[in-house]
Amino acid sequence: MTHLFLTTQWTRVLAARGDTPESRQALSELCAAYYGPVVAFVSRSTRNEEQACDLAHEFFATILSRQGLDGADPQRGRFRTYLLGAVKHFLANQRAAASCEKRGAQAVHEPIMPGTDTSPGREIPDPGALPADELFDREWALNVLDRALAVLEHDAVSAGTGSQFQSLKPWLTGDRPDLAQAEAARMLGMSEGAVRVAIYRLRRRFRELVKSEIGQTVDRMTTVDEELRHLIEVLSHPQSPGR
Amino acid sequence: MTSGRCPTCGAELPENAPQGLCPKCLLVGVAAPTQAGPTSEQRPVPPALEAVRAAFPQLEILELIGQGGMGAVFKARQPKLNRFVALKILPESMARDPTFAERLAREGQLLARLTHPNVVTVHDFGSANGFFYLLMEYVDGVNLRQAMQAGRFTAEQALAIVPMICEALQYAHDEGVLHRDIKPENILLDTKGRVKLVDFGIAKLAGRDEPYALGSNSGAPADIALTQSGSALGTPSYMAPEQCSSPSTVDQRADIYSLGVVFYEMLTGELPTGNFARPSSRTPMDPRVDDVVLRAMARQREHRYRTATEVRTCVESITASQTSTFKPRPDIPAAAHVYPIPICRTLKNALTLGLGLLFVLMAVELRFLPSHLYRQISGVLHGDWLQALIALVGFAGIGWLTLQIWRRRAWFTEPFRPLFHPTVGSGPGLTGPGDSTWDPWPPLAWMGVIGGLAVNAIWMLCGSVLMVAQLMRTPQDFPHSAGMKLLFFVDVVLSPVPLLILLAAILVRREVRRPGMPIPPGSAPALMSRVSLLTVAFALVTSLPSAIRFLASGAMVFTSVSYGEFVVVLALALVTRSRIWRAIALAILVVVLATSVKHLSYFLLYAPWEQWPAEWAHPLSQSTAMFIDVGGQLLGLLCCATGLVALLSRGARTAFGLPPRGSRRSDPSVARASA
Repeated sequence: MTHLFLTTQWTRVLAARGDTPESRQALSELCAAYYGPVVAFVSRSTRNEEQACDLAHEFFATILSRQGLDGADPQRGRFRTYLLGAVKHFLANQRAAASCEKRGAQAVHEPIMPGTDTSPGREIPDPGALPADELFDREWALNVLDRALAVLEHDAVSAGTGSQFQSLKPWLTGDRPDLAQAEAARMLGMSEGAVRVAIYRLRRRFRELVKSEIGQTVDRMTTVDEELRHLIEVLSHPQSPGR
Repeated sequence: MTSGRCPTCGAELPENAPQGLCPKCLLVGVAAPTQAGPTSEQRPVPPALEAVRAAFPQLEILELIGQGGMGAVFKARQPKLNRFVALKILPESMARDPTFAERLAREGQLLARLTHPNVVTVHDFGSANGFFYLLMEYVDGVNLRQAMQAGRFTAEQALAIVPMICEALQYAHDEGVLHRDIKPENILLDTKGRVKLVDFGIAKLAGRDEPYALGSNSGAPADIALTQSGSALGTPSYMAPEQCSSPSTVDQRADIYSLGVVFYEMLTGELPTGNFARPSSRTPMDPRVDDVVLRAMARQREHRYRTATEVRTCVESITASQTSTFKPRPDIPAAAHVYPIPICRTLKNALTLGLGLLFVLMAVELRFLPSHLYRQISGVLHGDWLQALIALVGFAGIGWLTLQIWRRRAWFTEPFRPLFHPTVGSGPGLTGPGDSTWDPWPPLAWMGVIGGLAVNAIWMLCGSVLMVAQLMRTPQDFPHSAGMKLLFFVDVVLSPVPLLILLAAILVRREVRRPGMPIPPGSAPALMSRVSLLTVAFALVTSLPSAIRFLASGAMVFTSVSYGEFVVVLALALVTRSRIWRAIALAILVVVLATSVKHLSYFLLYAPWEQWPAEWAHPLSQSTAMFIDVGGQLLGLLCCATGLVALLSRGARTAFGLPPRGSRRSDPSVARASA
């Protein structure tokens, strides 16, 4: 299993300092994979959905056209922290640019449409909302899981065991007191022992996939577990009622 | 996307939860330590795939599938046979021992002899290019540890798996092989849900016979112990106490201890360390499971089950009573061993014959039931409304009682389950080599006898109701003194005592099935034993009136004793293992024999049927009646004689699922296993 973590995409990007065509390709794939968290972060920061999408596109365009990785520190490099740092930088730059007097200073450029709230004071932040950083990490974790589950599902469907995957996936979250394995076995026409074996294998594969997914975004094998712990911690925080 | 709460951790699910699953639990599952995960760095380094490939050119080595203290396991393919095999490379440190090759040769031959559907077969063993190896059957599945990680076992699942382990263990013990390292990692479940035991005797091969170093989990060469001391293999948790203190004297009961620990872990998900809780206090289950687990794990090996088959029988009787039928479990593979009832053949045949005859005799005795009842019922109904009312209420009560007992039939007959089961008893010393098949007749005969008893008891209850109804209105029909009438009344009301005794026998049977286990005062079993004692005392007291009545009327005492009562007392004597009951049963037997002789002498003395006592008159033709009566009496004699043999014999105890007296002292398989 260890061979999965030997060369990750992110280490390749770092090693080449983003200069070679392969590393640029790897970086663009990574960015495509983690588009969601960036949009969530930007929209939380700007509190404007439409503008957020525009800004995110602009951000990715900037980062992918940039020569070399000026912001990334290869020693403590995780793609997640790099991306978060980069997007913060980008937003700060954007804000500075937007507040230039000649572009109308602090004025918000907003299309007025039906339903647009134009009452003053609406920028007051929702006190229950997550800090934007944490939101970014949470979205990141969900994204990792989504991608791993999608691969798992794709593998299952192409192996012809799609229905088995659908029935057994609840057990990926651990023991399910609300579900009976016997019931699943009956539905799938398998013996209970066989269901147990299938669940074990599904979990093992999922574990490999998540770890390799995370492994793509960190520079060393040993940090996979740290990153995993961090993501669990992020997900353990109570969510904001607004989301 | 679904929203709501995660059933595992109870947290609220986010709207964009991946595939509707709780993201936190998913990640926690990923981070959970696994047995085969890449994080365990303390394991010994497995040999390189290339080196193994070079050493075994005749095999296609596919991948490393396992790594433990007892070596690395590779999945391989034998191209010629086109089958998958598992290649176990024993640790290098073991091979350094100069006597190892010799030991491997000796043990390997023993292991290769084991062929059983629940044991992983050893195809080959030896050394190649410095590797000592075992070539084994490849099992497509997971081990019990991994299966437990895939979800806690329910009590039913655990109860289904344990008998299969027991079968494999019993087979190996019979072959003289001890496992010595039973643990979840060594119990495999294949994709069809079958159980396979692996690594028989490997612990011995590794030199674990030497006394153990404290704190290490392997008595093998020191570097194994050192490299393994931090890993989660946890073998010491599964080792019997005597396996640590005096490994050279271990016997099959050490394996049974380990089996008990595995059983406990399956039920509770934890190891029984320190002051551990009873399994049923952790999860709802049949409390009888506790007894099995605790007895298998007794610190003193004398208190444990002696054989794996005993564990299996106990577990299966629990399973059977839960499913409330006596049909054999359908999931036992046809190839499974059916152990014979290990009593000597002559005695078994005599017992079967006697029980069968007794059944016939009861049927003969019951032949008057319809006409007799009809006459009594019509008499009562043609009396007045009070008689009829009493009779109807009484019949309704009997019907209700019968229904209740029928509903609980599984509970009532469960204690007799070993009598119906083919795998009863395994008393060493009584099994002959020719006993290869199970004989269905003794259980059938027993079922017949119990059924006959039940019908008899219902009949007696009906008779009591009718008698009471008649006595209420026509006391002048009984030309006796008031005291005599009272005695008669008490006798009539209490005559269904055999039913109560049968119940007591069942309760006592429940009680005595837990030998070696202390019974907490105030618990249900303690209450049961008190109830059964009271019932027996009650039966004795109520038999006095009829004895006095018969003495007063000039009849002989023993006419009041029937075969049914004899059977009840016989059953009591056998299940309680009590000398007193044996003595009572013997006394009754003698009385019944005397009665039969008396009746037969009547036939001979009063040959012309017309001179027979009026009470023997019945609606059949005289010749048929004589045939039936003489036949019945002869059958009675025969059954009493065989009953006598059974009662006095030693082997009869085994036939009823009880160990023969003094059998604990000698255990021939032990000596062979440790040799």
